[in-house]
Amino acid sequence: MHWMKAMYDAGLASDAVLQRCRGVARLRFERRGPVTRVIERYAASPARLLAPRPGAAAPEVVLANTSGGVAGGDRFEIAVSVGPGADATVTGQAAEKIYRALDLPAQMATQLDVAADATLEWLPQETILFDGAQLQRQISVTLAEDARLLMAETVVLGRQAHGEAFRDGKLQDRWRIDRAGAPVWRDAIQVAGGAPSLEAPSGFAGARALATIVYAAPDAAAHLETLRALLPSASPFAGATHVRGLLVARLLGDEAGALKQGISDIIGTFRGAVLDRPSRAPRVWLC
Amino acid sequence: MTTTILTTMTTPTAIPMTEVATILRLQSWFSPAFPIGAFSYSHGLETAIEAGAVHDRATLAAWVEHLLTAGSGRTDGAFFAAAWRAMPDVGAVAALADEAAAWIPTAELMTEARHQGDAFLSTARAAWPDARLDALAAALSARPVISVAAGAVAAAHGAPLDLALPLFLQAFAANVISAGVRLVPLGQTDGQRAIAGLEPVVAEAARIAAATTPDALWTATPAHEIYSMRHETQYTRIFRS
Repeated sequence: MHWMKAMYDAGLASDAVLQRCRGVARLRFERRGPVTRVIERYAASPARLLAPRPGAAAPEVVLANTSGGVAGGDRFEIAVSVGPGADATVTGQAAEKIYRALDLPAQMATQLDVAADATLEWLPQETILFDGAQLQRQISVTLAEDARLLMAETVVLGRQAHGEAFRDGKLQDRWRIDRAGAPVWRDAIQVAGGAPSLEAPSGFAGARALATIVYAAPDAAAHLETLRALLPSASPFAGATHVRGLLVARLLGDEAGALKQGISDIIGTFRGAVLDRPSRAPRVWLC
Repeated sequence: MTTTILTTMTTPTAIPMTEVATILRLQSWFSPAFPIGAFSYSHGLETAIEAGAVHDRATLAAWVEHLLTAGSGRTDGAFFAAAWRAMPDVGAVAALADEAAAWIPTAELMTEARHQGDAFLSTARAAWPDARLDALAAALSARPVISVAAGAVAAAHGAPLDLALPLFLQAFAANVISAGVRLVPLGQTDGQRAIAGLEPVVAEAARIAAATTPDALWTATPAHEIYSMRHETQYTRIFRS
């Protein structure tokens, strides 16, 4: 990457002039008799969708990024739609790596639509921002009144396994969840390398990994104790609540590996107890 | 070298009587004596103190400063301004009330915001009757959160945003400080020192909030949210949030 640094230092390099990718993935699930089928499966490179194992009542589709990571200026768009009564899981093949940006942010837009009496599990693996990475992510969800959604997202600031600090760079992570056309969850976390919020006791409190779990369903309130009981009592620092028909849990970890293990255990047990799934994280998480 | 001495004649600024009436109302609405039950909410602070994250005047002031610049104070300020601007379109204010509620991250902060917002609007309507606020009450789909209720009341009574918004945020800050004074505990004078020190932060937060539309809002306070969630199961608790 020395040539890139030289160009950067000379003010010549730009994410805009380098070749950037636009990955697109679209999935549509529909109920057919007793099973859910994948009705549409479209992916534009470098996004790929790995076919579900045949025969499962609820298909599990794995999303992959063949470019290995996301650079400044890249844009990924993912749209998942689950038709009435259908039941599906979408997960990620690996952690999503966001590389250092030169001047443009990477953009990721996720749209999830879950129809009446349908269930979607949205369980990607963690997103890791390298030092200097800039990510603008937007997650938009529309739910029918009685739709069920289990989602978990983890963001890690800096490659902790390499001892890398998040000195520079920026995360902008905007979530919108509407149910029956009304807003039920709005959240936009923005934090930059070096920002006071990273150390503030009400901010990230020194942690560099944040996980958010949302379970939206008509019976959400009844499972608050289930979710609470799965959270670690001390570390990672975690809490859960029931608000506007959603269960929401947040976990802040000093160490990304421990947080990922924690999320894997929580999601595994919760989906087994609440969604009639195997009591483990999606198989691809365990590879 | 010559020295020029400039002499200026100072006269007391004349404030029109109508403005005095508005200022008196703002003083009433954003006073701790306004009956919205503010004293019973710590806004998640009780858990942070229990955990030792806030333990003296400096850490208390820093806690409130971060909420104002990157947390619930920022969100509340932006929705106060949005509601103030949207009046007297009560349909738009009712939609803002739903949107503002969706930003509130935990059950207890939700109870706190709705309980206070409902009390704020109904007390204001009872003591300062206003047809626009009656129309707003009729248009709401649920009890309004405090930010939208207070912004709408201020607008209905012609209070300027650049005066009402800092006072609203000052009341927010002073209420959390007051909870901290009782919980840490700190002396009353130390509490006032914290409030005095936060004056520029409140003024700047109000300036930013007035310029922030809800679509451009952001926060960076996941630990505050977790403390508020954990307050729901905290064994010993004095406050309702």
